[in-house]
Amino acid sequence: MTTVDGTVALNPDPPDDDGGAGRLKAQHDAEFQVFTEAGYGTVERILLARCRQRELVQDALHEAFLHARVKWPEVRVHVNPVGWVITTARFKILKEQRKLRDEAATAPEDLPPAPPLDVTDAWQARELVERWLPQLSPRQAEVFRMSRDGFGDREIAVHLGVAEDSVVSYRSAAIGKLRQLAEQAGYRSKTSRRPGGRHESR
Amino acid sequence: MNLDDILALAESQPATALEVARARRFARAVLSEHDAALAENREIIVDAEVVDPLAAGLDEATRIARAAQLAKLGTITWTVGRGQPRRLTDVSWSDEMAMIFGYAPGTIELTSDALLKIVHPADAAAFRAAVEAAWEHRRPGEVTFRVIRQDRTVCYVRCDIEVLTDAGEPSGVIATGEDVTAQELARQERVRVATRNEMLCADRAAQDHVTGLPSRAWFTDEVDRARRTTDGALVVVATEPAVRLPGDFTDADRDRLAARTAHLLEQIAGPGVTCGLVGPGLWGMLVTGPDRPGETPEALAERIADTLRHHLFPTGSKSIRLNTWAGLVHFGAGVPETGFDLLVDGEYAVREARRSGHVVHALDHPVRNTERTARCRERVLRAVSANRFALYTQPLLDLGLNKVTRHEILLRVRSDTGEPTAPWAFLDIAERVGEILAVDKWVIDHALEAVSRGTQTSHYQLNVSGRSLADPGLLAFVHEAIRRHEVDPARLTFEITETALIENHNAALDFATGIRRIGCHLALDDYGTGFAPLNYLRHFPVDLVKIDGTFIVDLCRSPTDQALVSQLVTLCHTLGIRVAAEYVEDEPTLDLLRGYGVDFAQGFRCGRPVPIGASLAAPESVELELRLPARAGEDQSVTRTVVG
Repeated sequence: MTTVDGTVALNPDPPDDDGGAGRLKAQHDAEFQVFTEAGYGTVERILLARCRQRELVQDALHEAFLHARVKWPEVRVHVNPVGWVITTARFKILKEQRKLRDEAATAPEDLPPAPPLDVTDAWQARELVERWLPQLSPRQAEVFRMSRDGFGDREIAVHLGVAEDSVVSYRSAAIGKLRQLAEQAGYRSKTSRRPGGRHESR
Repeated sequence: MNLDDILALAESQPATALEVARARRFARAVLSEHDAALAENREIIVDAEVVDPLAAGLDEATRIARAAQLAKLGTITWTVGRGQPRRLTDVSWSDEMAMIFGYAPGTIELTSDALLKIVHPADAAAFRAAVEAAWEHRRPGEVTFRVIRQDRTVCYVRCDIEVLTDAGEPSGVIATGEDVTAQELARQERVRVATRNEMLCADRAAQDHVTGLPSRAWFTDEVDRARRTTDGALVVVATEPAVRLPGDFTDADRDRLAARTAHLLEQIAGPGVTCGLVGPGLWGMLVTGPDRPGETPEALAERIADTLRHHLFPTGSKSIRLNTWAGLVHFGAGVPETGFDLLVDGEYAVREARRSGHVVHALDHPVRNTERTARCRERVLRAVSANRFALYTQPLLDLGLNKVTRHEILLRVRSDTGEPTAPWAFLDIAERVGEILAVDKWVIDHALEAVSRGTQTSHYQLNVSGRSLADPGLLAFVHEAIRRHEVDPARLTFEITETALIENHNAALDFATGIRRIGCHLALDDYGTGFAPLNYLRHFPVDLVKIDGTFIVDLCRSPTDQALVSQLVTLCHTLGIRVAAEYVEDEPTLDLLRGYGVDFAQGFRCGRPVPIGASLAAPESVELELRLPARAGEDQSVTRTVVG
């Protein structure tokens, strides 16, 4: 689990002496580099839970992190910098999605049926979960994803703009639906490593 | 392995080296863009505030509404009234939601009733139920509903519904939503296209049901298409059993023999040749186009005739051989003769082969028009004058009474060996050369005579071609025949066959009106594939519509046919027209038809055609199981009824 919280906020600002501006920027750059490397995967995963259009997610990620760098002096002391980036990027995605929809209401891309997976390693397991998430409602998928990434219910509620009680309901609905999808795909027993049948995951 | 194992496995490893490198590259790219902007003195405008949302001390409703506003979503908030903690009394909406609903912010005082009036009446109950269910069960939900905007246009809105909590107590409900009209229409269109694709099926009228070969109509079209662009040859092969068929040779045996012959023909002809069934025991082969076989059409015709003659067809107890002849006609590209003309010439050629005792008779070019027409006319009229016909009857089962109450009188044309054969190829020619009236008159006269000799306990249906209706003397002829043979006109239904266009509409309407004045009934035959438009049901005094058999043969498997038949029944009944179904071949189909309320069923399941003398002398006894459509919660009552 890759929980990133506002640990950088604990680092003191460098002393403000001569040529301090340059040194300060260098320190912020370094902090930002560490922050981004650690948080990038989490943010991307959570955004993908709602939006399957990778390009849109990439653009939103880039813009949100850039804005985080611009505002780094404030973001670094924010109670949850990753949460801030998620919220910022998410609004950009919602805005873009609405713009795209208004231009042309196209069918969601019909993905060709993916071949059945034999889950033997972490990558395949992740791939499988990623295939199932689009079959949840966007809110369920986002809540589930953030919760697996270590966010607390209150944080999730704040960043997604939903009620705190709803977070609990969305998560249990998400897990119920995922369990159903897993069983449909033949993953039911606690013991066997292999699925009962090589069914599609849909 | 179950979901928990999969989730645990998915999260068992930290990021891979690849992912780490990606994140690093990404961070560097962001930093260098930041540096570039600084170097160019370009300001990057950040529209998001950096505030701690938790520290702001907002209540849940305000927090959610604010997040919705940032995401350009609208909200509707219901809150409990003072002193009424269980009831949602106050309602308000955000400016964004007011605009989604088509109202300028602040122009309407929102109440629960006012809101429900704006929601489309068909969706108001569902909308209200969704809000109440969320509140009742303290569980989020969602609802999509239509809204009638202030300008009376309709839009679709989708909302997530959540329960608000204040100090641990449920304090209200908030719906967060947006206009989803475009997505909803796109979704409906996807559903429609999928339905259309599923319901779209092949043209069953293009294929003969028994042999699987293209039908005469389809094959004629294909010949016509070929002659417009390319040269070629049309081969017509005639087959007939070399020996007298055994007495126990049934219709089913006949069908099997035809299917075997068709299969063998296609094998011999090969893939480059288009085959079709052009008549009973008459097979067409179109030799044209770039894929045509290397051999000459004459060689092909000879090879086919030769192979068929030497083939032994197993039929029940013994095998039989088929006498075979072939006729062919060559045609050049763009000849004026139509596909039908060429087909008639091919049929003439094969008759010439048979008459002259040769295996193959070839025509180098199509026959002259006048000659062809004269020959066809003569053939039809000679058949009439020589009584080369036989009449058969086939029972119609009244599905309401589960009893045979009607018979259709069918024409059979005697082949050169005297064998009664299906008349459709003969009737096609008679209709096209305008001599169908003579045939129809023959049938009416002989059928009424046969009916008058019987007990007249059944109801009889006779066919009249749409072409014959144009004849001003037909009505008088029928009237006179009914009187002469002393037949009860109320026991007669005239079926207008729709293989040809009704030639003169006014005359046809006169006949239809007149025949009903006499007391007879009127039916439209082959309804749905013929030339009778829906329009006819409006102003033609039709008592019965016979749904074409191509809608019935596959009824149990085809949702398309089920939709067409069931709706046609409803339509006809609304218009006061009874409905019959042809080609009913099994019990499940009969059950379906009964369920739709079809009045009569005809087909092998209800009885095969038999010679009219036999049927009038000894009415057939058909045993049918009556299955009444089960009412809800009731067992199917099964009664056995003997019908005679």
